[in-house]
Amino acid sequence: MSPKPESNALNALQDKFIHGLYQGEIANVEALICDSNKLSATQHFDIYHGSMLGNFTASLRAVFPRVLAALGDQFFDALARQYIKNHPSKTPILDDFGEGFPSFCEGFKPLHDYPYVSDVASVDWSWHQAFHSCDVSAVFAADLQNVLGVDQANIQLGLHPSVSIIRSDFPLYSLWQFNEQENASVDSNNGASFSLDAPAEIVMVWRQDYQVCVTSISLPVCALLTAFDEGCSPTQAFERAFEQLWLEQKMYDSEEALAAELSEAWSFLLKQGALKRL
Amino acid sequence: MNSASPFSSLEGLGLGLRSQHYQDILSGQNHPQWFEALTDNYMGDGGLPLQYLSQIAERFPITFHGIGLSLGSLDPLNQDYLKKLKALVDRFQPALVSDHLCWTSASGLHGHDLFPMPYTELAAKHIAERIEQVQEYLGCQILIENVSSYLEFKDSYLSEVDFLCEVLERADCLLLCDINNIYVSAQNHQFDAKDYLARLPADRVKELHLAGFEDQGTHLLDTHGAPVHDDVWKLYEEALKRFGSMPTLIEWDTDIPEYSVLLKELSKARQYWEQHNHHIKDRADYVA
Ligand SMILES: [Fe+2]
Repeated sequence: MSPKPESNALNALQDKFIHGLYQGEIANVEALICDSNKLSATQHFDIYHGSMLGNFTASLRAVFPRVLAALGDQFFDALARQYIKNHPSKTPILDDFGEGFPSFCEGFKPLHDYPYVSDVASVDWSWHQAFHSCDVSAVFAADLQNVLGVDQANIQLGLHPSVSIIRSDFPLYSLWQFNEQENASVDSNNGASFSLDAPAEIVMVWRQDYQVCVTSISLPVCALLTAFDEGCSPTQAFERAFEQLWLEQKMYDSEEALAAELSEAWSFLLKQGALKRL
Repeated sequence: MNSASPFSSLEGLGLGLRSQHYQDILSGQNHPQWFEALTDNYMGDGGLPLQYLSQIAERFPITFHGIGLSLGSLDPLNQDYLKKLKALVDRFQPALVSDHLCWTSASGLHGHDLFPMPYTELAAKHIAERIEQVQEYLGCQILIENVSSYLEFKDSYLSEVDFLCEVLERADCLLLCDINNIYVSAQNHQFDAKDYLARLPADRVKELHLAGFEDQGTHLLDTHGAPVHDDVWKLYEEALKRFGSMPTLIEWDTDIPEYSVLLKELSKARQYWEQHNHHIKDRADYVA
């Protein structure tokens, strides 16, 4: 709905002001603002510009602590500034502002030498989402034994709403843990700190009661989670995961070995509370 | 329209609820009479913040204070935000619900900061209509808080206080009078804070705010990160004379200190309260 004609002046003022703030550009706004005894119109505007950058950066720092640790304050704040400029907030809730940050990191040229940062950002964002996710009871092994009896092969299960899976080309879980330390530095040339050449890891983030958990998961766990997410029953999920891992991955010695791993993966999911009943 | 409260009524001194203090609040002895929750922090689907809020709401009256309504914006009201706000109001039954006399978004972009309105009749009419829509949707009156501001628009031809009074009247809403914000804006824009107070409609004031600012030399910045300034305490005394023993909140949002520091600010506010009450009592005795 377009504003009433008499509101045009008010609309134009707000439009110019908010775009001016995001671009850090006073040109179109200056004529709207009074000079005062102590400050020019530009200086008045700069107070709002500075406080907006401060608020947004503080919010991103709080939501992406491991990215902050990986990059250090200065680099992080510069990155945040570019993100703010290029991804204006489209939501009234500041907490949601970081949603596009991981993919922004992926495409950000100055991060070329830190290709793992966007994956670390994804883990941070998933942590934040899990923290605020819906309170839903998870399914545990005992629930299936006690309540469901023999029918458990066909019960409908889905992912617990707190669950995220982050696939990475890097040892992501180790990286994420490593960046818990302040001033951690990741350097593939420096054996003393951290090696990016270690095997790739898949990370799962979820919540047990009110505790957000992060761990690395095996391929079979990941395959089962994916199948449940697509609406499979346990029987179907096993079949699909088996097929996929056996054909695509070709890394298992025997069908029995893979079946054993899948059964271990199933136990893991029921122990950690990564599933819910649909 | 009902008066503020389809909910419980509010009395005495409150503290802004901050996650750093959840444990202190639930385990300690010494407490304010109520807590004010920042609504925008509880709009997730679930998790620990809402869990703490429900524990605290069981023990204390709470009020809701938000910044996301963007009441002065020309954009349509954000339906998703309104829905979440209503769900929170229905669940927690706060004693008061408030937002600000400002806009925070335009052209679909959100600034998450409190931008002043140009003080014109047209802007007053616009923001009042929006407040009415929100009140209609929530089914109760809301409180509007005066903001600290750092610029004046050339379009403004009303004073801030005239603009505010006009909006209160048009929207038939209530006032959350932030004493610190009056002081900060009065200093920044060279108006008389006492005169501002004197012109507010006392019957619409339902809550007062106190907080600390930072003197930046060229202007005062409302950081909510410092103790209440002496001059603001003086203005608070005036406000108590004018509005009576109004529910009062101590706000602290940045560089959040230990709980005990906030309790100290609170006991200072209590002294002003008691002095005010003695004064009233003395006068009553004298008249009797
Ligand atoms: Fe306030």
